[in-house]
Parts: sequence; C-alpha cells; structure tokens
Amino acid sequence: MKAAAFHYMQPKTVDEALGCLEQLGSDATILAGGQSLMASLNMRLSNPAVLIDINAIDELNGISTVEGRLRIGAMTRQAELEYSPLVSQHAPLITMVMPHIAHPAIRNRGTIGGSIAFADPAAELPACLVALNGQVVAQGPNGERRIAATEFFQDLFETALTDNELLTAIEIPMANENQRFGFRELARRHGDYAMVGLCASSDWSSDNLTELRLAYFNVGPRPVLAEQTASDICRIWPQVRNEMPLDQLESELDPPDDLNASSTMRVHLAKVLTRRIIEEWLS
Amino acid sequence: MELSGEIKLEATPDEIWHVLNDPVALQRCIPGCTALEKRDTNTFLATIQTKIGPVNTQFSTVLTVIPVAPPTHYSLTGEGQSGISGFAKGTVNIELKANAAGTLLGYTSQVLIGGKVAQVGSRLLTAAAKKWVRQFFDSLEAVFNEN
Amino acid sequence: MSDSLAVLKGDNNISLTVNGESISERVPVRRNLADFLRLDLGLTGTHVGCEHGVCGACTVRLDGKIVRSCLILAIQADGKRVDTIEGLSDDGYLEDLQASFHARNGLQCGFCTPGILLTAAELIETHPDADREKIREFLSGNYCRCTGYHAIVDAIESVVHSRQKKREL
Repeated sequence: MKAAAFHYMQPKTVDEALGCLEQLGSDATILAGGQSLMASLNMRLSNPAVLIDINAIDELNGISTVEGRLRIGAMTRQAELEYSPLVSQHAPLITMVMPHIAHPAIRNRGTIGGSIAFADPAAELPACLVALNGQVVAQGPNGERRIAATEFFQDLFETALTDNELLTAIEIPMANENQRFGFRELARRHGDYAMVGLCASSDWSSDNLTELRLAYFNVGPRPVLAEQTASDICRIWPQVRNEMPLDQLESELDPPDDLNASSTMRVHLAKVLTRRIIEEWLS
Repeated sequence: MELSGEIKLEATPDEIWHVLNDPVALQRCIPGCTALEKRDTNTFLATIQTKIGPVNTQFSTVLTVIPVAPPTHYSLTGEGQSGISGFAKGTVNIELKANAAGTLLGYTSQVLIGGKVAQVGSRLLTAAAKKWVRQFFDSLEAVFNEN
Repeated sequence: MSDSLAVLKGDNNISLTVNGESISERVPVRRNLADFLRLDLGLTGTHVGCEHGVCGACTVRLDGKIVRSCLILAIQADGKRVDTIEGLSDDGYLEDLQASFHARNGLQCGFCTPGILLTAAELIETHPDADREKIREFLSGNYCRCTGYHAIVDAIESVVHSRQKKREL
C-alpha cells in the first residue's frame, strides 16, 4: 500500500524543530530514521497530518565524550554506532547489541534517538540504555533536561517526552575496566523481533560480582530492570554455579501471552538467557 | 484474549454503579471516546479513537450497557469497526464488592481484535488491550474522584 | 522561525543524482523512493515487495549505503546520490557477483536478486573476510522465495574467496 497524503517540513536546527512542534501540536509527527514510522504510513495504520523530518539537523549528529560520559547525538545512525571505535571502547554493550537489530539496510537509516523515543517493547536499545544506567537528553521550550533511562520508559510506546520536546542525545557513563557486559536475545530468525532479550551490565572487584543490572525486553510494555534477581545473584556469588537464584524473575516479570510465546515461556526463556550470560562470565 | 484484575476504589458500590450507568460519565471513562450517542435504553453509538505508538485507529462502536444485577454486577459490551484497519469486540464484566475502604472492583474481560491491526500488530495486541483496560479504570477513578 | 520554514504538500521539485546522472523531477510529497525510481524514472530493476522494509526487494544505495527505498520519501533524496541495480550493473561494479550468481544458479525468478546483489556488495565491502555464517547473517534481511538461499550463499562465498585471492597477489 502507499502512504496517504501529508504535509512535510524539514527544519534545519533544533530550535526550528521545536517551533514546528509548538505550532502544530498533535498534528505533528517527528520523522527520524523512518524505519518504523514509514512502514506504518505505508500500511495506512498511521495518518499524521504533518511530518517533521529531522534528518537535516546537523547538531543532532556526532559521538563524543563529555565529562566521563559518552554522548551520542539522537540522529546517529545505528550503523555508525555498530562500527564506532568510541562506542566499542566506552559502551561495548551497544557494540554487542547492534548486529542483532533488524538488518544492515535498516541500521543504515535507523537512529538511536528514534529507537529510544519510539520505545518499542521489543527493541534492544531501550533495554541497553536501562542496563547501562544511561540518560536521555531532551530539549523543549523550557530548555534542556536529562531523564534517567529507568524513568524514561513509562508504558507501551509511552515515554517521559512531552509533545513539545525533542530527544536530542543519549548519554552513557563510560565503561571502566571493572565492568563486564552481556547480551542475549532469542528470535525465530536473525533480525526478527526478539521473543525475549536481556542486556546485562556488571561491576566487579577482583573476581567478585559487586553490582548487576539485568534489563529484559519484550517482557511487557517496557524494559524491566530485575533488581531483586540481580541482588540475589550478587549476594550468593560465586556460589551460583550450583544453583542460580532466578525464581524471583517469576514475580519481577509479567510478560504477555502472544502468538510467539506464552507468558510462562517468556519467563522460562528469560531465565535461560540469564544463565547463559552468567555462565559466560564464569568461564 | 482474556484480561482480568481487581481495583480498589474509595467509593461505595452505589456511587460507582451510578457512574457506570451515566452516559456522560461513561464517555469520560472510555479511553479515546470522542462521541457517545444514545440509540435506545442501553445501547450507544460511540466513536473511539485509539493511539498505540504510531498506530491511530478510529472505531465506530456499538456499546451495550447491561445492568445485570444492580448494584453489584455490570457488563459492558462493544463491537467496533475501523474501516480497513480492522475490528474489535469486547466484553467487560464488573463485580462490585463493598469493603471497609469503599469498593473492590473485580473485572474480567474478553477482547477480540481482528483485521489489519491484529495482523500487523499481533505481538502488541495483549499489551495494547491491557493498556486500554488500565486507562478505562484510571479514568473511572478520576471521574469519580471529581464527583 | 517557522514562518520561514516551508511546508511542502502536493507536488514538489527535487534534484538528485541517480546512477551518476543529474535528475530533476516533480514528485508528490507522499511518494516513496522506490515508486519514484520505478514510476518517474522507469528504473524498474528496484522491486517492491512488502512495502514495510522487511523483504529487501527494494534495496538501493543512498549516498553509498544500502537502504530500503520503500521507507524513504523521494523528497528526502533531494540533493543525494542514489545508485540502483541498473547503474551498479552498468558500471561493472557488480560484475564478479553477477557472474558468480549465474555460475552457481543463485537466482531463479530474479525478484529478490537486485536487492541481494546490492546487499552482498556491501557485505563484502564491510566484511571482506566474511564466512558463510556472516554471509547468512548479513543477508537475513533479504527474502528469496525460489532458491532456498544455499546457492546464494555459495555464490557470495565464491566472490569473497576470489577477491581474497586477488588481494594476496
């Protein structure tokens, strides 16, 4: 099918984009990489009145380091993240995750800002940001603000962004040598939406696991940080070889039933993925 | 799909019963209900706008209120068409039990969504339906707290 | 601010480079790049399959990188460089891949082939030492209903090896 008619604007600066949002209110839809939005338009499941194309806003590009944080501009293409030496040095979890996101042609256009703002429950990058304790940088008519990833994803496709705000960058604390990361997802075919996925970040002191962040995705409307399970694992470390304390996942995760997997199966798979990452760290 | 749950409300069953049977209040409870027109005693024609992520669908819905056993048992059924996007049918069965703090509202619902929306969004249907039901009861609570 | 910002609707002029040639056309805002190439420019080598980005039949190069032309508006290609199967074939850029597909029976109906060739070309550019697993992973976004993929992987692997040999010389 073909998209229905709409109006189109192409601001050149963040201020211009904010002006469009202010002027048009709910009539406006931001077009970033377009890999989700254009599909929806083509199927006529969305009918935005005006598309605000932010692909020409230079200030939204760029990967840099700022005061111990890795700062990634919202319009940074996923492919650029995949091959970026700065990202692999300072946020290796992202480098691990990238090849699992859709396919190369999608990653050449898809952006990190778009993925985070869209907040698809099956997306990897939102869970990655939660695991890394990152922040979303947003700009609105009242200026710039930072929102912790743990507060950003609120409900199904709902984030803390207000209608007149633009997500301008993602900031992530730079990885240090006492950290290890893990990523696993289960999908029927490579590149499909995962049935369940896990982004994990851990802090170590000699061989002791001191802190663990387990961010599961496609287990509900938004990424879930399983704090109880993580603290259980840290508490009995390294005795996890004999028995890994994953029972709390049954109460921390409440996944929906759908065509791909039942709720019970998703919880089971979440445990499987957790075991695989922990076992990888143990070996 | 089947959804069920329990909600605590600080109001008596009679008060909640009244809201559920008042078309003006009911319209404010139903998420995205932009119009509610009475057809006969317990039947209404509703226009319900849903927005989940980028997907915007407008359902022309026939709503039937069934006051099964006042003031404790109530049912609401809806059958909505959304042109090329698909259709949705659902029933919400509500049971109101008085308790010390007010009322314990228990609900069970069966929702069937079909057509393009279901085909394309099959992985999101349960989450979307749960969210809609959650919003319904949040609005019910809000409408009620105002009165 | 927004007073100076144009609102495009209806038909608009775009200028871009397609297969090395300067093109100026007038297109509706809602037209996607795949339809523009096929309908306005008669370049029907780019195919339209699913129209939502999953099948890969519409793959073209935009500023040197493979993209889904069904998910890009023609007006977004204004000022950019687009290369389609026609241009890349005429340039000889895909010659060894095309010969290999031919030799190994890597195509039957040919519907997926332009997308697959462009994707394979980017694979070998970015991963010149790709093994079969990497080939399959990179090509996982291109659907083929005829071949069962095996011959396609053989054809691409064969080119990886022959280019490796050339580099060693």
